[in-house]
Amino acid sequence: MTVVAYRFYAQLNQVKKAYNLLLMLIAIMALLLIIYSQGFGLSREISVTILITMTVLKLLETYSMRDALLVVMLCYFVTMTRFLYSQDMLLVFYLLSSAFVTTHALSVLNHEKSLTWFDQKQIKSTASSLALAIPFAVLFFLVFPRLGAPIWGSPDIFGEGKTGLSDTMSPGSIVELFMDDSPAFRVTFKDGVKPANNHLYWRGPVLWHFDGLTWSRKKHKYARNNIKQYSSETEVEYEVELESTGQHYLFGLDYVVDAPEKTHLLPDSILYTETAVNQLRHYQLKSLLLNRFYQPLSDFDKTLLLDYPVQQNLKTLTMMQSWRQAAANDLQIVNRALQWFNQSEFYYSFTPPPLSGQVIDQFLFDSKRGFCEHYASSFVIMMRMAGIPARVVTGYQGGVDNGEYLLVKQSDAHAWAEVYITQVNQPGYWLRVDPTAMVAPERVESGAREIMDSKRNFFDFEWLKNSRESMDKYRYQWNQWVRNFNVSKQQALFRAIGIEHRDGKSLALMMLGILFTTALISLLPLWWLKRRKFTALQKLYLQLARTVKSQPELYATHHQGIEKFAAQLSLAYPQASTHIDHFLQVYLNARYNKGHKNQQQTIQHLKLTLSKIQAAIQK
Amino acid sequence: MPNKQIENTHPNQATSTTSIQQVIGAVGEKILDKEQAIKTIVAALIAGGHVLLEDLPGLGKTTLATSIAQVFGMDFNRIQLTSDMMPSDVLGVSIYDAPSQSFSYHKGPVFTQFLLADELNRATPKTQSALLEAMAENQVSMDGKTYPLDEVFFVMATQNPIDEAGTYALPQSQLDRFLISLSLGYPDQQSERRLYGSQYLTQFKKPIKALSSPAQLSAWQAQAAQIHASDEVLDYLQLLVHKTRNHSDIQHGLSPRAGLSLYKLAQGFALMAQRDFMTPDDIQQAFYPVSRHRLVTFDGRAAGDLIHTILNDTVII
Repeated sequence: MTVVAYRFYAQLNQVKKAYNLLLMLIAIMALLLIIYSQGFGLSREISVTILITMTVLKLLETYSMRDALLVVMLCYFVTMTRFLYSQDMLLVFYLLSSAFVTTHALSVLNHEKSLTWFDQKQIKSTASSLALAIPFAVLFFLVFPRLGAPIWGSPDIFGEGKTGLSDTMSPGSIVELFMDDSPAFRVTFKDGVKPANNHLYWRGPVLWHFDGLTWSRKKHKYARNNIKQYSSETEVEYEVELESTGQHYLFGLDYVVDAPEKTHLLPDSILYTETAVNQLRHYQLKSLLLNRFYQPLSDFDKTLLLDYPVQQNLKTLTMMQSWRQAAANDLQIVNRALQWFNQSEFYYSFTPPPLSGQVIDQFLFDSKRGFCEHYASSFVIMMRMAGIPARVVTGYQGGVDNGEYLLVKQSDAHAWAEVYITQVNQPGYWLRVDPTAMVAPERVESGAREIMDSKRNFFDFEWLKNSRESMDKYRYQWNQWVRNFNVSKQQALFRAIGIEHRDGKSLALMMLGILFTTALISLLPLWWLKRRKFTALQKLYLQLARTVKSQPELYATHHQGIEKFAAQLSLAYPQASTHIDHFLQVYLNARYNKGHKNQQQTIQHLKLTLSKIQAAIQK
Repeated sequence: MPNKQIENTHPNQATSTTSIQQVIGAVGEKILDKEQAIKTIVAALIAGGHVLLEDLPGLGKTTLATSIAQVFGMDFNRIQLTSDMMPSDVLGVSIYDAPSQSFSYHKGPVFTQFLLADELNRATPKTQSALLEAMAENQVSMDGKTYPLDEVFFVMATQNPIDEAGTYALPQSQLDRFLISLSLGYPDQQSERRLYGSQYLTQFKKPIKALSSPAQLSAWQAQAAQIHASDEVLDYLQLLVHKTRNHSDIQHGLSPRAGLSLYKLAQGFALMAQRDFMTPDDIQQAFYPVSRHRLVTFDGRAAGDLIHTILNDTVII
């Protein structure tokens, strides 16, 4: 800002140029400040910050046309950097408008006389040049050799901000997501069959450890086996389009059959990717819609899953110990706990009173208000106290049917529990238990949406909500066609127009070719409109000139006067000189004298003379 | 006045009407291989402008000047300019006349019809400007009185482009007073060989017969002023002038006054071609002599090549 202000001041007061040394010092200072604030290293943040800072500083030494052009070009780059952060659809409109401003600056700069910003003609010409650029941009987009993944998507170079569910859960971490209406992922079911809402448990991180406040994951070393379908089980196939999260989790319905490419299926059925999801990611999954999952449990894992903070939540512990004694098997305890949640005065609330200290006791016996996070977390601890291995599963529940796909938003985030049931002479299995459903069944039946709606404040209008959802439809199309235009889609496009697989080099060549032809095609009409139009007289002269086209020393170039040409012609062809002279006289008279204007008679006469000249020359 | 030479030729008046071609042909018999230069000078005469000749010594400047004066039957004066000449040496001087007890004005060499000012750049700026002012005003102002020059008044000044020591280069504003500037250059081999032959030498000594007269020149001048220029031709003229202003190598292009000079000279050429209208060829012929001394290049070089580039870059068709 200061720099811009100084620039204006300098412009108005004709201040002398600042010393180069001073400028150097300012630049070095700015660099040091950037390093101080952003840290050292090659990150996206630091690169973009340096670019922007230097662009602004460039204004300090912008005095000539060359500098001004440079600043404008840098502005284009600055505009481009916005895409490193997001490639959202709405952003395109914003960046188009800033590209317009930049282009307008360029066209005003290049315009010789008027330096007004709001000249209608100028604005028009800027708009038209931008419009001209659009087909080329589309062409480049379609044909430019594509990298497997954008460089900015690589976490090694640029760290991404993380969004969505994380692999820890502490009080309030999910409630932030409830307020976030942005899409988490979109699901297209094969054959268009959408399972019932209470089957839509999108599994995310599974949390094992509890320190009294925060839940966290267990690190695994092995992968889970794939599962096979039995006749009675429903299998669904679907494709997920996951928004960038900056994390390693993919989400799938309980329970996924096997892992997609470059993804590990962890023992607790988590899909864990090798590289963080830093761009839109598509994957296909198969799931069996089950609420129980047979899996052996090692003794070590069992002890982990039975662990709870000692000397805490004693009230709950006492209750659970009494339940344990009264119950015949584990399932009875689970059911009793669910009943207890259902029949005691528990309320589903997004604004529960804050808990501190012995949070489980406080929640279960005092406040009794909370949402999925509270219920899942308390339930798991209760089960562990009763000696049943249990863990918290986080993920998303439900989703909005948005026409051809299911939209799952951040606000659909959910937490539920899994308990490990062992019965005599039977293999142990994981059972999904959702205590929230006991308190607020509508949460699971119809999604978080309905509950949220009653909580919305005055300013969240209904139409706003609807428009957000219909906007997501466009965004989905945008993702489908633009953001996700990858190597394979590009190849499919080429195949569709009959070009087989190409490497980057031939692609580049092809692009140049297309560019050239496009330029030619678009310039041809321009040339056609702008081409010189000759009068009948001029055409006759050109015909005369063309009769000696084979002799370059005679053939009149367009800067030569006809008299000079005629003299040379007469010299070369004395036999035709009388005709040439006659032609010259009539032509000059008709063309340049007063009153003679392309009379038909003159032209006929000239044509006749011309044929005589041609005949004489060819002799 | 040591270095001053004044020559006076006595004209033998010719009254018969002759064509311009004959006039040019007559001069061309003395000045070999310089037809275009002669044509240009005659065109400048018809356009009523003055000529600046830039050439090495011995290339026929004086011969050319005397020949033209002779063929037109004009009064001819020649002054050899030097650095110690005063304005009065050119314009004339008022002398006290004892019998009549008054100052009487003695006309200087400028009172003639054809003045050859040799080595103009040797004179001091003061003398230069006195002469150039007389050229511009067609009159001499002295002691509060003005003395008009002859109706037909034509100055041909020469400059030596090489010996620059002790010269005063004409400023741009003074150069503009000359309609055209020319350089004769060496004759070609054949013509030069002819020049040494005895036949030519005897002919050289004879003065040229006056084929024309100042009156006829005035008539031609009036006739030339009537020559029509179509819109197309004027467009071409304007385009040429405009291009001198946008050329990257040219610091100062042609002024509108120079454009008018171009127009006038082209009229002269058109008259010579016996047309009553102007063609682009006329302008092409006039363009070089008119702009040669007027264009200021960035590196101070002569603008000759640039003029040809501009001509070659401008489409006529």
